[in-house]
Amino acid sequence: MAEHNGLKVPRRVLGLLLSSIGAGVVPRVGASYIAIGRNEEITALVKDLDFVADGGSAMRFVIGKYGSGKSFLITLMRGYAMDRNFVTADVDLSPERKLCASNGSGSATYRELMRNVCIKTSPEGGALSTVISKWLSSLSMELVKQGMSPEDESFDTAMRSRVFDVCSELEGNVGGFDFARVLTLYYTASKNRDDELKSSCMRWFCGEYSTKTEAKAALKVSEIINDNNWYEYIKLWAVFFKKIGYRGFAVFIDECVNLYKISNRISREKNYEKLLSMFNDSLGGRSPGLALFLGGTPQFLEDTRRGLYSYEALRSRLADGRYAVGEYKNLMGPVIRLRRMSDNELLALINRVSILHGQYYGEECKVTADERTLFCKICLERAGADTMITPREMIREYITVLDIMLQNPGASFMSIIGGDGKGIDLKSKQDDGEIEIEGFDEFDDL
Amino acid sequence: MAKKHDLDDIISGLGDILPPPLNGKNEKSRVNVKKGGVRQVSPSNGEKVERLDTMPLGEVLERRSYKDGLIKEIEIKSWGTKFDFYGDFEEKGELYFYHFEPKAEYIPFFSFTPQYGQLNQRQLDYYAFWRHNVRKGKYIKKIDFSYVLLFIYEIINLTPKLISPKDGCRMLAEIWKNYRSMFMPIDKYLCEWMCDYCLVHNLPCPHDIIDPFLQEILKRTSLPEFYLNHTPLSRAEGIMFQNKSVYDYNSSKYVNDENREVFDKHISSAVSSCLDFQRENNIISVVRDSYVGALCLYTQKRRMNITHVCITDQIFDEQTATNAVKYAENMVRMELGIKGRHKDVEVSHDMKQKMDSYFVSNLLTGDKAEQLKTELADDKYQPTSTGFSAEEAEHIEEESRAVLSILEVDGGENEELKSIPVLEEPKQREEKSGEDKKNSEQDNTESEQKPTLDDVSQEALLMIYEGRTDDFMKYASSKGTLPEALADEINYFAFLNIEDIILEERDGVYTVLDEYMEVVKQWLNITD
Repeated sequence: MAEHNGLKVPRRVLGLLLSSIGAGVVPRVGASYIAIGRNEEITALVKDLDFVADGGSAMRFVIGKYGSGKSFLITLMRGYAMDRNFVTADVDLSPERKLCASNGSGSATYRELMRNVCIKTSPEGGALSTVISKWLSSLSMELVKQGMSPEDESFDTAMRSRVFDVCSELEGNVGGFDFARVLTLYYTASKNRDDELKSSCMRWFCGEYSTKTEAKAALKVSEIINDNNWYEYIKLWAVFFKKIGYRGFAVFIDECVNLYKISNRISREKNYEKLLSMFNDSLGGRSPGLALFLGGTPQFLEDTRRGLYSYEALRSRLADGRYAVGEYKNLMGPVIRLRRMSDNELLALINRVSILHGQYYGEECKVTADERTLFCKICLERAGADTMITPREMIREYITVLDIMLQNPGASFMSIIGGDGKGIDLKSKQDDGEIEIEGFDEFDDL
Repeated sequence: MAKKHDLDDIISGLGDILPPPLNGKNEKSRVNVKKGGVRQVSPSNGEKVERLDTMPLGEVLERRSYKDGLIKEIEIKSWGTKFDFYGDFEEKGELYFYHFEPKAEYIPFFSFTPQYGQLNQRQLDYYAFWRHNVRKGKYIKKIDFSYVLLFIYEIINLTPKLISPKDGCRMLAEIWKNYRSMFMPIDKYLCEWMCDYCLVHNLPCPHDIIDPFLQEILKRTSLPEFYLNHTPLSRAEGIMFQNKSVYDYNSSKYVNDENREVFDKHISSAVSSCLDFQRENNIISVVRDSYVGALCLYTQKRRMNITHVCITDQIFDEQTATNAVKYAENMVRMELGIKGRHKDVEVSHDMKQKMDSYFVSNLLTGDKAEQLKTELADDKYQPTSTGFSAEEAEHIEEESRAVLSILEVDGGENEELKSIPVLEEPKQREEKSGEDKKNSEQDNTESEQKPTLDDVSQEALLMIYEGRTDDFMKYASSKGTLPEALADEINYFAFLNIEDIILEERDGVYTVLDEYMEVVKQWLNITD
C-alpha cells in the first residue's frame, strides 16, 4: 500500500485511478480520491440514497454541460452507494441502447445494466451471481446455526421453504411469478451443481433470451425480459435486493443526450414517456428500494423542441419553479444542475492529483504551488477555454507533465511547459484580430 | 437594319478553312495597325519582336511575410515547365497595345480562348475602340464576353511590362464591377484571377471597387482569406458564417438606408460571437497556382505557397447559419421596434447564450435588456467565481475531505474516505518526517487489533491461493455455502483490512490478485 504521512491508500486502486484519469476516462474505482467540490450535490444525492434505504424511492436528473463532471459525479455516487451496501448498476445510453424501442435497444439497456451489477466486494461488475449466491448461502447458514446439517434430508426442504418465502412476496409484482420460479431453479441448480441450469437462469435474469420458446424450453417460464417490460424487472430486482438484506438498488443511466439525438419524433417521445413513467413511479412510491440517477446535458433537458421540456408532462414536473432563480439553489428538486468547476476548484483538483501521483510512484511532488497555479492559468487562457476547458483535459495534460518529470529527473516543470508557459499551448494566441505566429521572425526584414 | 455579318467575322478561324475570297486576298494574313506608332508586322518581312526569355524555371522569386492580416506568408515561385502554346500572345499584345480606334462598328467575336491572332481587322478595330474607352473609364455595354476575356488576358500577361500592377488591378476590378451583371462567368474567373494578380504583384485587394459584391465573391472564391485579409479575425469568421446563410435579411422592406448599418453591424457581430466557443486559430499552408483557366504565358504563371489563418474550417451547416442570422435579425428588429418575422427560430442553447450576451452588451436597452440580463445571469451552468487563490483552493480541498468524512458509513467502515492526505510543500515534509515515525508505530499497533480471517475463510483462501479450484468448490458446498458467497466473505474481510478486494473471478475460477500475493501469504502465515 502506498503511504504518505502515515495514511494508507490502496495501491491497486491508485494505479487504476491514475491510469484512468491520465487517459481522460472517468475512473470506475477510486473516484472519491479526486472528488473536489460538489459538496452540496453529493450531500443531496446521498440523502436520496438514505431515503431509498428507508424504503422510499428516488429519481434525479444530473444535468451539466460536456466536461462539467456529470459522469464523474455519477461514478462517485455509485461508489458511495456500494459502500452503503446498495446494489448498483450503470449504463451509458447510446444509439444502440435506449429506454424504449422495438428493435431490442430497450432490452440492450437492461442487459448492460445486469452486466454491470456491482456490490462492495465486486466493484467492477458481474456481481449478480454473487448477490444471489450470497443470499442462498445466508439462508443456508441460518439453517446450520439452527442445528441442521447440509447432509440432512430435511435441509433441502427447509431451504426451499425459505426461498419460497421470499419469492412469494415477489409474486405480487409484475413479472414476479416467473422471477420467483427462476430464483427457485437457481437454488436447485446451485444445490445440484448443475452449471447448465444455473447458466440458463442467469441468462434469463440478464434478459438474454430472445424468444419465449427458448426460455420455456430451458426453464419452463412463459415470459422473457424484453423491450416492453425490462423496467418492470428493474423494479422487481429492487424489491428483491431489499428483501435479501441490501439497502436498495441504485441505477445510474448516463449519456441521456442520446435520447435527445433520436431524430424520429415518435421514437423520441416514446423514450420520454418511459422516463415519465419512471418518474411517476419513483415519486409516487411505486418503485420502493429503487434509486434512479440520470445524467444528461442542458440541451437534453431544456431544449423546448427536442429535449425533455418539449414533452409537456415532463416539463411541468422538471422545470424550476418561479422562485428557484437567482442566488439560491434548490437541490431538493428532481434536477441537479452542475456548474462548471471554478478556477479554484480546478486548482484544488490539480493539487490533489499531484499528491496521488507522488504517492503512487513513491516520489515527492516536485511541482510547487506557484507552478500549479501557473499551469491552471495557462490552460484557462487558451482561446475558448472559458466555455470549453474541462477538468478531464486539464488533468490529462497535467499527468503527462508529471510523467515526463518522473522519467526525466533533470527536467523542471517550467522547462516542460515552456519558458513562458506557452509550450503546452501549441496554437497561436489570438487577441482581437492580431495574430502572433512564432517562428517567422526571420522574414520580418524582407 | 442591322448589318448582316459574315460567318467568318463571327467565328474566328473559320476563314482559314473557308476557300479564299475571289479577289485572292486573305485579310487575316496581315492586320493593319493604325495610329500609335506601332510597327506593322507581316509574315513577309520576318521581323520578330524580341522577348525576354530568361525566366528561370521553378525557382523562388520572392518571399513575403506580413505581420497583420490573415495572410501570413507568401512564397512565389516561377513556373516549373516551359510551354509555348500561346505562341505569340505577348508579341501581338505588345504590338497592339497602343492601337486604338476613336470609332468602330460593333462586330461580334467569340472564342473559347480569345487571342489576338483570332481577330480580324474589324474585330481588332472594335476591340481597340472598346479598350480605349475602358482605359478612360467608360464601359460600353455593346461588347462580347470574348473581348472582355481578351482584355483580362492582356492585363494578366502584359504586367508589369506594359501595364503597371496598380493600374492593372484597378482595371480588372472595374471590368469586374461593370460587366459582371452582363456576363455571369466573370465572377467565377475573376474571383480567382484577381486574387492571384494581387498576390503575385503584392497589391491590396481593391475593396473600394469590389465591396458591393463581396458576399458573392466570398461564396465562390477558394481563398476568402485574401478578400478578408485585413478584416479582424472574429469579423472575418462571422462574415463567412453569415455567408453560409441562405436567408438574406436585406430582402426585407424594413431594411432601408437609415437602418441598414445597424442591421449589418449587429447581425454580423452577433453571429460572429457564436463562433467564439468553436474558434481555433488554424494556420495552414496551401499551394496555389496562379491564373488557372486563363490564357497565361509560362513567364507570368506562378506557383505560390501561401500561409494563412484559415477561416473556412468551421463546421456549421447552412441551416445553423441561417437560423443564427434570423435570430440575430429578430433581436435587431426588436430593438428598432419592428415586428420580428421569424417565429421559433431554432438555435442551440450555446448560440443563444452567446448572441443574447452580445445584444445585451451592445444593442438592447430598457426593459428588453433587463429581461435578457436576468435570463443570462440565471445561467445555472457557469461557475460562481473566477480567479485563482491558493488559500481558497486549499479551503476547497479541506471542505471536500470534510464532506467525504461526513459521508462515511458506520463509524469507520469507510477507512478509505479518511485516507486522502494533505498536499505539503517539500519543506513541510522535512519537518514532519520525525512525527511520521511515531505515527507509523501507532498504526502498527492498531493493525494488530483488526478482525482476523475465520477458519473456514482461511481454509478457502489457502485453496484459492494454491489454485485448487475444485477443492474450493467442494469445500464451500460442504460448509453449506456457495463458492461465490465464500469468496465474497474473503473479499469483505480484505476490504475491511486493506480497503480493497483480493480475489477476482474469471469464468468461475477465483484467483488472488497479483498485487496482494504477499498480503495473502502474510495472512496465511506462509513462508517461502
